[in-house]
Amino acid sequence: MRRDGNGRFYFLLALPSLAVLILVFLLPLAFNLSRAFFVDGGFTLYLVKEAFTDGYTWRLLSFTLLQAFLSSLVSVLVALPGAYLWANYRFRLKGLMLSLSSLCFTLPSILVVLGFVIFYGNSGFVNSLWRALTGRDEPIRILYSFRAIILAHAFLNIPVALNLITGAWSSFPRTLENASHTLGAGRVRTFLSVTLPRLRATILSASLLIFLFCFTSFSIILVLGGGPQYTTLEVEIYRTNNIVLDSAKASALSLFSFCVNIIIVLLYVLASRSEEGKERAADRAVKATKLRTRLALFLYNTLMLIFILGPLASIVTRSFISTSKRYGEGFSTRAYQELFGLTRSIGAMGEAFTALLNSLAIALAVALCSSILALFLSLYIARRRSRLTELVGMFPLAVSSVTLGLGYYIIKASIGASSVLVGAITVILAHLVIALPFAVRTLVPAVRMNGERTVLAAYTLGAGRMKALFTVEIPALRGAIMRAFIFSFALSVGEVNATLTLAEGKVVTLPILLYRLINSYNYQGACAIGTLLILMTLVVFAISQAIGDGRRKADGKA
Amino acid sequence: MGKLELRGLRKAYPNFTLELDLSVEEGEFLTVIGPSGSGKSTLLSLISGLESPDSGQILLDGKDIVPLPPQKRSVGLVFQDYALFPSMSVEDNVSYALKVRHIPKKEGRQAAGDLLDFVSLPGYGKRKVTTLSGGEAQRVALARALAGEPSVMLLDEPLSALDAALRRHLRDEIRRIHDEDRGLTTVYVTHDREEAFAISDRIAIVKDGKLEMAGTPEEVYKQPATLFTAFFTGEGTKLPTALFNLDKDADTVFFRPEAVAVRQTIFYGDADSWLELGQAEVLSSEFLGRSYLLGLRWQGHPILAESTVHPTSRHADLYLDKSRLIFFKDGRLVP
Repeated sequence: MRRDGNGRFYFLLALPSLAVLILVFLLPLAFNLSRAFFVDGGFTLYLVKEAFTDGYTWRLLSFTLLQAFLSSLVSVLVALPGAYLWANYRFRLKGLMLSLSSLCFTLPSILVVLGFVIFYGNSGFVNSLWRALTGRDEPIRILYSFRAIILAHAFLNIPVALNLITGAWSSFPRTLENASHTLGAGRVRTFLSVTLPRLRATILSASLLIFLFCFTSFSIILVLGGGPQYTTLEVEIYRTNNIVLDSAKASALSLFSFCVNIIIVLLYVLASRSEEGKERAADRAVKATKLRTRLALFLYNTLMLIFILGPLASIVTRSFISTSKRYGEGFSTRAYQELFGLTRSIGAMGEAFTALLNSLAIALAVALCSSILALFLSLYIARRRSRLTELVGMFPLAVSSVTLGLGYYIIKASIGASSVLVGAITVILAHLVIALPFAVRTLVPAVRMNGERTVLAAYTLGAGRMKALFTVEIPALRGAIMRAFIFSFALSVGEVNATLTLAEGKVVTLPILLYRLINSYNYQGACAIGTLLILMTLVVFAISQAIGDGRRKADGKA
Repeated sequence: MGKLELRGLRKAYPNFTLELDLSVEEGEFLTVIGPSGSGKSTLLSLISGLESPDSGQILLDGKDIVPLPPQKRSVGLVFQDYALFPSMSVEDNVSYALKVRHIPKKEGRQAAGDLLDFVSLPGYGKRKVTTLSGGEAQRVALARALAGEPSVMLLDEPLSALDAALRRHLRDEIRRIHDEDRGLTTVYVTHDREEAFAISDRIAIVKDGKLEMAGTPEEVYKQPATLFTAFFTGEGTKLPTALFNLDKDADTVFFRPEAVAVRQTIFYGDADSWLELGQAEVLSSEFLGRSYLLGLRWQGHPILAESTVHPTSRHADLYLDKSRLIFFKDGRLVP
């Protein structure tokens, strides 16, 4: 049959991508995991046995699980009332708020760290307000504690939960609730027996996704945890490899972490599979008429905006304020001059301009490779309705970026290459693995929507397969390909975990520099880079919104 | 005094305004028909309390239910897309109204079983609702609405998603359920006039949110109150009265296809009761089974006529049965 022939065609197209994916993903993983079994040239199970049985590992695991559990619990609990309000009521700027919440998917975690240090720190905005209000000099200590970790994870993930749950909730038509009302059930009863069961799968899958994010969270713990007391598996892997310099032990630990991770990802895949197909019903949101509802909406949205935008805005403000004795205190654009190479600097900021160029070059390369590879993978996944390859796309989620970074580190070490170029290439490959699943997930729905029929129509009009692919199929996906490109770019620009682990600081990118500047208390420089990262995220976001709008308009015309 | 009375009910929307008075008797099966967007479903939402009117009253057993929330109205509603709760079994769906009223689980199960028997789905209790076919889901929805023992049952185009054969079967089933249930009062919404004729005691025709006419199927077919009703309830032809020498204060004459006699030989009708139109051209012929529906052109006017024989040539003579002519002035019936 023609259709089967088509399947083979798409498979052949996807073959190079699959090969690359396996190479850039499985190879470092294999290197990483096998390192634990070979110490001084001989095979041993000792390290792995120790990693899996040592009390310390299990204490690490239980702390990692605990903080991930609490973080996702807090995120979902705070997001739920918001999702209720957002899904059921119309309000001004809702579209913008929803888009803002989706921004948090691409917000670099190092930015969150910085925002927290500036906003909640001892001389930050919250404490200034506290001092002004109470007149007390003693600040509230928020940072460098368990609380700070949970708060930072909530910051990153409340919007994620809000976005996912609102999305699902909005897609359920009101009919079921109406049916329940006409059958005599009140609001509470209806919520418990009709609405909640429909949302259960979404809440579960959102929680697991957030759990996964927090489980593998790295920079937030590294900086905000501030001590061995609050260390997670990921941070411990990094410390063991890059500070204790014991890559074999680190590899044994990452094998352990990988096993736990796989379980979480499998649970997530199972949970998201049982999610109902979204029905795209008429908007269920109605105008809020009751004063109480309007007040609730106003309060929730305002608090959310302060919570999310506060730290980000304080980064921007702080970037213009110098506290340096040497360069004078007060308003200054010195950090920006250093960043764009206009003023020479002797400190860490001396590398700022190089870091900017490095970041842009690496992100461009990553975005280009990732969108092309993802395109062919997605065509195959969508046209063959393949579940297996979808899982391949999901699989990199199971490998934390620290584990991945460690893999590339070990590869580099075993071929004995230490040049900056090799470093940069391995950074690109590691970023590619991180970006690819997201690019695939952006593209697959778009390919599914542009059904196979148009391609079949092109065949009946005499176009060959390649011709149809390049004249009909790919042009129809232009918007989605650009989204994938931009998404990959953003992920690469903000990536810190793998870069820090594998390049030992030899390849300096903006987030790496940002991390160093935080450590050396150069907050103005850090904030200038932070502002640049925020700007990049916003631009990326604006472009993808514009593409989305263009597509929606085109749909409206059809 | 009807079981259900709508008095001066009014609800304004950006694109149309619903405004009507209607009365439904106890035990009556009333069907509301009208083109899409005429406000049929809105009417049901107002009666069930899912939406509230701008003004007017809805009297159920003489009591205004407008201030009551849907939970307190004793009005059952069967949704167009069934709206079964996907997370519950068939039995849990059906007994939901009882569970809400804190009736013990055992009794609820018993009642659900009886209701499932009643809608001809015995033994379906443990099934998941996602495994049901369209027709089965519709019966479950019906049983679920009946469980609360509502005083009035509302059905919103319940058969529109089903295929033709199943639709016929289920509409008879719905009528049977109506008749066998203790004096149930039913308001049924559809856009299918054939369905309306087959199932109803009375039919209400609505257009743009206004009631055009309410009456028995015979009345709405034979004495349509408005020209719109005339065309909406069946085939027919309208001609200007000026073409004829008739002593009527009307601008339009309307007649059904069966009021026209088509002859290609001599016609033996009585000149007092038949109006002779003369020769017309046969343009089309549609086979209906027992007869043919002919599309003709007479003096430039299109005319629909029913004939038991297929015309043998392109021309035929037309005669109108005077007793079956219906007259309208400004779209309203002239008695």
